[in-house]
Amino acid sequence: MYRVMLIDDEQSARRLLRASIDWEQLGMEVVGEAASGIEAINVIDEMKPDIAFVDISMPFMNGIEFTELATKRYPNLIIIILTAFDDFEYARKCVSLPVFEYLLKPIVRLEVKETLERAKEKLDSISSVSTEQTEEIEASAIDQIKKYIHDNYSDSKLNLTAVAQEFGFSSSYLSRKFKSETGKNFVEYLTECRMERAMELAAVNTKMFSASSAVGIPDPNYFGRCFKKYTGMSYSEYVIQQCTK
Amino acid sequence: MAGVFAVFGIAFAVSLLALAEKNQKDYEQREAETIINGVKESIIANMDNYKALTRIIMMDEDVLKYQRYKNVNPGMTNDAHFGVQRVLNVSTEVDSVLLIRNDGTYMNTGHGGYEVDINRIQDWSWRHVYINSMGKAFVAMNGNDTIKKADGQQMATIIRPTYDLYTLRQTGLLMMNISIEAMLDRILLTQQHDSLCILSNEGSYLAGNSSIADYFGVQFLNADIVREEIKDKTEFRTVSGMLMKDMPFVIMCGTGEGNVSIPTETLTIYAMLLVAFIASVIIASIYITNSITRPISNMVEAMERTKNSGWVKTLDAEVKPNEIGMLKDSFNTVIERQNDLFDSLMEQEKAAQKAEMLVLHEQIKPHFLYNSLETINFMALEAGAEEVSLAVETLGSFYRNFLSKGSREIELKREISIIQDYLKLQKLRYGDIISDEYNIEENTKNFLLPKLTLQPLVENCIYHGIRLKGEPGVIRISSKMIDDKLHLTVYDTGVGMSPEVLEGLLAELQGKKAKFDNGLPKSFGLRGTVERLRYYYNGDDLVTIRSVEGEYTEIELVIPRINIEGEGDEDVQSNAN
Repeated sequence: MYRVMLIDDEQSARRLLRASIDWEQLGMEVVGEAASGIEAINVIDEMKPDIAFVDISMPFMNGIEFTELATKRYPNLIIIILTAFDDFEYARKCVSLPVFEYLLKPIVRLEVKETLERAKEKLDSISSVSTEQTEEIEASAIDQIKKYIHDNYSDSKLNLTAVAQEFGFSSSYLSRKFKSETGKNFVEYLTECRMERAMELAAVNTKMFSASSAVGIPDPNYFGRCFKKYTGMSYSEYVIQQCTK
Repeated sequence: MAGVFAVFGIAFAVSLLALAEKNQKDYEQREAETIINGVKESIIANMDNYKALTRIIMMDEDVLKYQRYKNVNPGMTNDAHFGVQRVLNVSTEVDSVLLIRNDGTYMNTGHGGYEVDINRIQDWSWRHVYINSMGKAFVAMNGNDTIKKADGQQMATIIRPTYDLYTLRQTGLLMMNISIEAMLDRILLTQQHDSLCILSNEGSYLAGNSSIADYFGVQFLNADIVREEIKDKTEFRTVSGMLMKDMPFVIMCGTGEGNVSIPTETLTIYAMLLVAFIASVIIASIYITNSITRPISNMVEAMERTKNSGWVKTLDAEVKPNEIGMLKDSFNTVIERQNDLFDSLMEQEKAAQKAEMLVLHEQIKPHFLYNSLETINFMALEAGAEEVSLAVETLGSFYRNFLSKGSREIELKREISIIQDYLKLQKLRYGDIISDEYNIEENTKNFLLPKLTLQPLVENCIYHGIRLKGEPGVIRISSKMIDDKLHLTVYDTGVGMSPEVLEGLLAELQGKKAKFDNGLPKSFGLRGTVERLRYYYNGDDLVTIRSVEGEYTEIELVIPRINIEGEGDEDVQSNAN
């Protein structure tokens, strides 16, 4: 089963794509969705997709920026750009990027199906043997990484793979090691750092959009969901609560 | 040009000659008049002298005595004789003096034979003029026909009445006879003129050139100078003449014998004027040719070039910076201004079109349309309406290709998919009456052609072909490459066309028929397509139509290859804006 991720700010587009294709028949499954490039960066390490459908026009981080980042960090990821003709200028920029295919919106399922079949062939041909990290990670290295996270969490592009590449480890190995050393997985730790800071900002009545970009999640929608998940209440509720104390 | 000069020169020479002759005549005329007046003045002066002499004689004591006393004795006569002689000593031309007393006695100082008609003198009808003249002196020929000299010599006589100095009583007459021929000869001698002649008022020759006397006539008995043209043997000559006032003399002067000629300087000046005139005409014409005619013809040539080039250009003719240059400059200024206006109009038009396009695109909002279609599509899927989902997907696909602003040209395969989507949607409307077939050769699939070339033709197949027939029909689209040109055929088994209709349609496509003679013609779609193809490929013979009425219609388009690079770049540019 190949793992497919859908990145599009239009919910209907994600739902249509999910519903109109017989994924199982293609030997694929849709493992997750992201409503923005920012969200995608944050969840991609968990979802580990083989194929990503990327819409070009998305707020905060558009499909082009995401693609640029993703092709560096995930060289085996197959990226299929979805674009309306309005985004032709973007599409021209994509020419220099290693994009697997451009599909035009509105989607035609036959086209999508054909494209996915070709993607599958390509994935089949890539050696599935991933080189396992052999080098041991020192415990001190984990401390360094934690410090690195603290110093850099305001960078919206920061994620597990970015850190792993920075320190020269494989991301899966780092993920495992990080969990065993700290008891939390990488994303939980990063989110914790960001949310703690966000709570501090909320306590001094900072506007949500300012706080969200200050902690490295410039997509306020995704930031809001993260915040609620972490604190159990929405940002605005939290602000009211803190300021009326 | 030379002919013009010749005409100029001849005309000038003729008028110069005429002018010279006229001048010559005028000159001679003036000369003659001057001479006549000179002679006249001399005669008057001489006569005045003699009149003065008669006055002196009249006042001589012995003369007075002779005239005063009642009886005359020879002594007194002698004394009077001497008295006259005393005065006459100073003059040579006085022939004789007669003193005539009122009683008819007279004395004559002249010698030789005189014949004095004393009876006539004493006759009142003759003498009353002199007696009543209050002392005035008269001049008459030969004592006014009372005195004749035996040798026939002509005499001019001054006649005046005599008065007693003390009693102022009129005492008689004094007649002084003058040898007029001698006197006139002397006067004429001073004038140095060959053709001068003086006659008495009766026409008898007195002095000067006697041949002129032959021309005498009563017309000269005039106090003003009379001019007479007289043909003399071979040549014309002019004779001027006048009768002197209060004197019995006619002065005549002939001219035209070349003896008095115009000074040669005058002719020389005229000739020089002619040369100067011709030279200035030549210089002026060279100047005009160089500075006006040639620049203007250069400019006309330049304008002609501009006209032939089909574009309004400034003149490039080389013109000196004079008035013509100014003309060229202002013409160019006008042209530049005009071109600026053209450009700004074009710019405005382009901007307006662009704005219009933008507004259109804004109105269409493909993103909104596409997202809505996707939402509807999902909703249909959710509800299990598979057919609705497919229809919406087809509509989305159709508009995706149909509205594409990516390029004016698209690949044939995409044009075909537009047709497929279009027919799919039409089939939803009209059911199974339409079926479509495609014979697209592989090597034509990527051929670039202007977008929406086929769609209007297929639309015609449905609305002017199959739908009118009322039975199921086939639309078949075929493509193949012949001589590196795309041959596209759209075939339908519709009602077809009669030969007349087909002919009319072809004529219309050739532009031989008014385009909108009955409002929008049926073939609007086809004509629009053909005109677009002509615009793209600058050629004719792009379309062939075959049809059998009631059977089929087949339209074949021949489309050359587009220069992809150029067109592509242009499209990228226009989209980058």
